[in-house]
Amino acid sequence: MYILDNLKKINYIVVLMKPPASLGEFEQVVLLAILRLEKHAYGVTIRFEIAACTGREPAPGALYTTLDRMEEKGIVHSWFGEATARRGGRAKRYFALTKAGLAALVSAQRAYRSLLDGLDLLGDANG
Amino acid sequence: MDNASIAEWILCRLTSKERAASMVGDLVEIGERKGLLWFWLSLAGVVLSSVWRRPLAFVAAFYAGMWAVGGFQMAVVGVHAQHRPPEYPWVPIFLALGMVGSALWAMSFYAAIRYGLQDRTGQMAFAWTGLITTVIYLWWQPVILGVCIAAALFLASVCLLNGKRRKSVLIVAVSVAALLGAEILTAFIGSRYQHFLLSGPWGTREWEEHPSASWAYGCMLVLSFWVATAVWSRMHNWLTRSQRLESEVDG
Repeated sequence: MYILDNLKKINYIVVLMKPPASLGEFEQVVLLAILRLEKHAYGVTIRFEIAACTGREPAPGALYTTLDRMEEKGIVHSWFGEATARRGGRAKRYFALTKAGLAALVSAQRAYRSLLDGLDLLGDANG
Repeated sequence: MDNASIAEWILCRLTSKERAASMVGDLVEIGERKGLLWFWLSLAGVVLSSVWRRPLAFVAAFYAGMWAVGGFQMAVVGVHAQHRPPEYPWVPIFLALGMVGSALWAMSFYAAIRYGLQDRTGQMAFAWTGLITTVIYLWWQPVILGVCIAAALFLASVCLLNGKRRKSVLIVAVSVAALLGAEILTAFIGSRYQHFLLSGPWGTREWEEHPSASWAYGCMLVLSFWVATAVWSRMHNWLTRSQRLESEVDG
């Protein structure tokens, strides 16, 4: 019983110490676009939002693979919305961040901010 | 059948009907402005980015499994000849460890390529693979054997105490059992076929005279790996779906 109790404690500590999921650069871009779009984030709007903010249009294959992978990891969740005639009666798949996804994004952005601290990278000198 | 319906049918082979419909709906919506060429090129991109991991993971699993079988045989024979452990219980233990270890090598490579190195189930498979491989190669060093046994007990206890890890272990165990079962079936059917072709002992000449026997073994072995990787894939989908539902409830 003593060993079992200690193992349970170790397991509890391991779960508590678990860091947020690490995110790649494109994953962060997609998550930020979803946050900006609030409840209107689906494939088309996410793609347009990324293009408008970064000047790069992501390939649909890369975008859907990333969204599916992040859903598998529990970073985003999706649900099906209304079907429109413009889409040939096909439903939109909307995305939103989960708690774990938001924590991972905050952690990644904090890391960027601490790296930028003390640098004048975004100042007038660099346009 | 219009373009969108054909595209939807293609994507349905790779993902669920609802997801395929929503992807095609997105492509139709953007394709209004970009044209038909863009629509089909984008669809090709979606298909390629969805499927490339599966065949590569399967081939890697097959080679890793076959390489491990050869490597473990050499290790067991070599170490056995050098250190001469008692026949019982070491021979059955080595036999079992070698079979489970080679199956674990195959499934670890499959998981690493198909789902990435951060996947919990793949990490679990790699942990057990590492332990079994260490024991096979270094069992005769008491300290290393002791550390491996302690690590295995610790890992087993930690896995049993956590629901998510328990499910990961279940996936690893069922897939490995499926591969071993299919391999045993392959050996049984293959030996019956060999006997049907020519009863008696087989040497190099007999194998050359009856190439269908080699082909039969090869095809059944590939089928065994296909069964095991399909089991892993299905169970992994089930696990991620249940975790997704849990995180949605939490969120």
